[in-house]
Amino acid sequence: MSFQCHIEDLPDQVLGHIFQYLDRFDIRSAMYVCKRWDLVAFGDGSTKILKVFMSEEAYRSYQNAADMPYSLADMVEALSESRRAYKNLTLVWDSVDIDKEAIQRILSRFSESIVSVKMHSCGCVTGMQWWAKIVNMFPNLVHLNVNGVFIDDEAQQYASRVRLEPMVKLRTLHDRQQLIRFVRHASIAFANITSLDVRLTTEAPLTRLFEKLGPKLIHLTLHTPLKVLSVFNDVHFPSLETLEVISMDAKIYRVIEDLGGLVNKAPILKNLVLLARIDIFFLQLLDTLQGTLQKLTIDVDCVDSGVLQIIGKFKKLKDLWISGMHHIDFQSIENMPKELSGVRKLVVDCTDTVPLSEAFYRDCFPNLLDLELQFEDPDDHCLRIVKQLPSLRRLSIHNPWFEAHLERFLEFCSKLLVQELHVYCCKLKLGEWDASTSKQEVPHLRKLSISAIEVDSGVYLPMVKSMSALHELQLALARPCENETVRILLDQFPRCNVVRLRRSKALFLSTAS
Amino acid sequence: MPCIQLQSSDGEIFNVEFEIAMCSFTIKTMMVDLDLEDNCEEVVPLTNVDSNILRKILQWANYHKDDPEANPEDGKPVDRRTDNICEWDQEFMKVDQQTLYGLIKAANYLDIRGLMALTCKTVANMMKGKTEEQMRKMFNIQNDLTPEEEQQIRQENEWCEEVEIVAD
Repeated sequence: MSFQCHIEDLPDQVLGHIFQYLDRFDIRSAMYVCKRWDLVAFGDGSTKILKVFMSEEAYRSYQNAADMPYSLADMVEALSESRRAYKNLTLVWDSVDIDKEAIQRILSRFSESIVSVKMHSCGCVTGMQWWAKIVNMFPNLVHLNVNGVFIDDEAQQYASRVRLEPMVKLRTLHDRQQLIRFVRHASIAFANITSLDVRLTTEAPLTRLFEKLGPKLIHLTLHTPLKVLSVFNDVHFPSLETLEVISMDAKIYRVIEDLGGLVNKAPILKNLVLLARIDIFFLQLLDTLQGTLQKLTIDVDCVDSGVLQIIGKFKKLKDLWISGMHHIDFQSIENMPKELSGVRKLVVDCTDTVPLSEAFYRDCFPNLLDLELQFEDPDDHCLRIVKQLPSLRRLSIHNPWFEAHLERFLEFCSKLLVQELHVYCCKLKLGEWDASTSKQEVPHLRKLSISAIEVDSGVYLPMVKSMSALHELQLALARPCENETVRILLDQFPRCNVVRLRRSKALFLSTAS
Repeated sequence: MPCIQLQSSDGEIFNVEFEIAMCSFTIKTMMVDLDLEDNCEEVVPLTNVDSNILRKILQWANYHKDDPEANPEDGKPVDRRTDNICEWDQEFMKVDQQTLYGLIKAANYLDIRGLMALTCKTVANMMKGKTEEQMRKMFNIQNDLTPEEEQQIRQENEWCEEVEIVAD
C-alpha cells in the first residue's frame, strides 16, 4: 500500500469534522491515539468542560469512591501543566477548607479562554468577596451559573455589597442564590444579559434593577413565591419569548393578578411554563396570548373540560405539558373540546395519576406526534392509548417496570406501532431469554432510547436483531455499555448507530433545553 | 446539455455536465467569478485531484444530482448520525482506505458537502467502539505520545467532561 494518502494527510479541520460523528466514549479513545489526534479532538474546547474540585470532599461526593484513581494534588499538578485553552468551567466545592491560592493559580491559566462558568456547591458557605474575586477573573464570560453557593452571614446581615467588573459579554445568568442582591450596581454588571434564571425570596429593592434588565430579556425563569412578583409591576418585556414561573405556593388567589400582569407585559411570549398550582380562573387571564403562545406547561389543580377549552383558545399551541401531582378529571369530560388538534406534543407528568381514558387522547389530540407518559405497568393500557393515535411517531414512558425482562420488553415493543420509543426504567435484564424459542419481531421501531441504571450485556445483540428497522440506539446508563459491546453491535448491525449519553442528561428529555 | 471540461492533476480531461459539476461549491464559485458560465471551451484544471478520484466523484455526483441542495447558511444543527447512509452510498464507499482519504481531500477541496458528510461518516464508523490501540492499528498510526504526555492527557481528562450533543 502506498503511503501517498494516509489518514494523517487529512487537514486538522477535516479530522475534526470526522470526530464530530463520535460519541463521548469514542472521542476519549481517539485522544490517546497520538499527539495530533489529542489536539484535534480537543478542538477549540467548546465541547469540553473542565471540572475543578475545591476540596477532597467535593471530589468524593461527585465521583463514586471506586472510580477515583487520582487525588486532588494530582489535579493541581495536571492542570498547572495544561496547555489546553478550556472554554467551559465547572467549579465544585463542598467544604470550607479550600486552598484558595492553589485554585486561583490554576484558574488564572484559563482566565482569558473561559466563556462559561458553573459554580456548584453542596451546601457550604461562601464568602461573597471570594465569589466576586473568582467571577472577576474571567473577563470573557458569556454564561454564568451559580447554583448552591451560600452567602456568608456577614454579607446577609449587613447587606454589604461586592463589586463586579461590568460583564459586557455576559448573556446568560443563572442565579439560584439571590446573589444579584449582593452585587453593587448589578444593572451595570449584568447590563447585557438576555437570559435570566433567578430565585427571589424577598421583594427587597429589586424593582429598579428589573426595570433596567427587563427590555433586553428573551428568556426569564423565576423561582419565587408568587407574592414577590409585585417586583415586576412596572417592568416591561418587549423581547420576552419564554417565561417560566416556578413556585410551590399554595395560596395564590390573592396574587393572581400579579402573575397575569407579568404575562400581559410580554407581547411576543411564545413559551409559558407555570409550575405554580394555578386554577381555571387564572388561565382565563391569559387571553392576550391567544395569538402567540406555542408551548404551554401548566400545573393546574384539576384538568377538566373547562381547562381544556381555555387551552384550546391558543391557536398556535403545539406543545402542551400537564404536570404535577393533581387530579385529572377525564371521566367527567363529556363534550371533549376539539380545539386542541394543533397540539403535536403532549407530556402528562403526573406522579400519582395514570391518565385513564384513551378517548381523551383520541378526541382531544388527534394529531399528536409525540407523547410522554408515566406508567408503572404500561402493557395493555398504554397500547390502547397508542392505538387511538395513528399519527404518533414518538412515545416516551417513565418508570415502566422496575426490572424489565427482554422477552416481555420485546413483546411490548412488537405491539407498538411507533417509530421512536424512549424508556426510562431501572434495569433491562436478559431474564429467561431463549433465542431458539423467541419469535418476537419488532419491525416498526427506528429509534430506541434507554435511560436506566444498567442493561445486561447479553441484551443488546438479540434486541437489535429483533428490531429489524432500528437505526439508532441511544443509551444513557449509569453503568455505561462497554466499548467492546458497541464494536460487536456495529460489526453485526451496521444499520444501527449507537450513541452513549450521560445518564443525567437523558433523564428528562422534555425539559432539556 | 451544457458541459464544462475538468482536468485532473494527471492531465486527463473530463467532459462534465454543468449541472453535475455544480455540486462542487468551489467550481461553482469559480465559474461565477471567472464568468465562465457561457464558455464551454475553457478547461478548468483541478491540480489537487487525480483522475481516479475525479472519476469516482463524478460517479457519485451523477447519482446524487437530483438531491436537494444543502444551504450552508440555514443554521441547521450538524447532522451527527452515521447510520443514515443510503444503500447506493454504502456500496460506493466500499473502497480501500487510500481512495477513501483521496475522496475526503478532494471533497474538502472541491467543497462538495454531501460527499464530505458521507466520507467522514464512513471513517467515523470505522472508529466507533474501538480502543485507542485498535484505532492505531486500523489507521496505521504510530503512537508518538511519550508515557509522560499520555499520563498528562489521562490526568487532565479525569478533570474534563464532554458536552453532550444529542443527534435528533
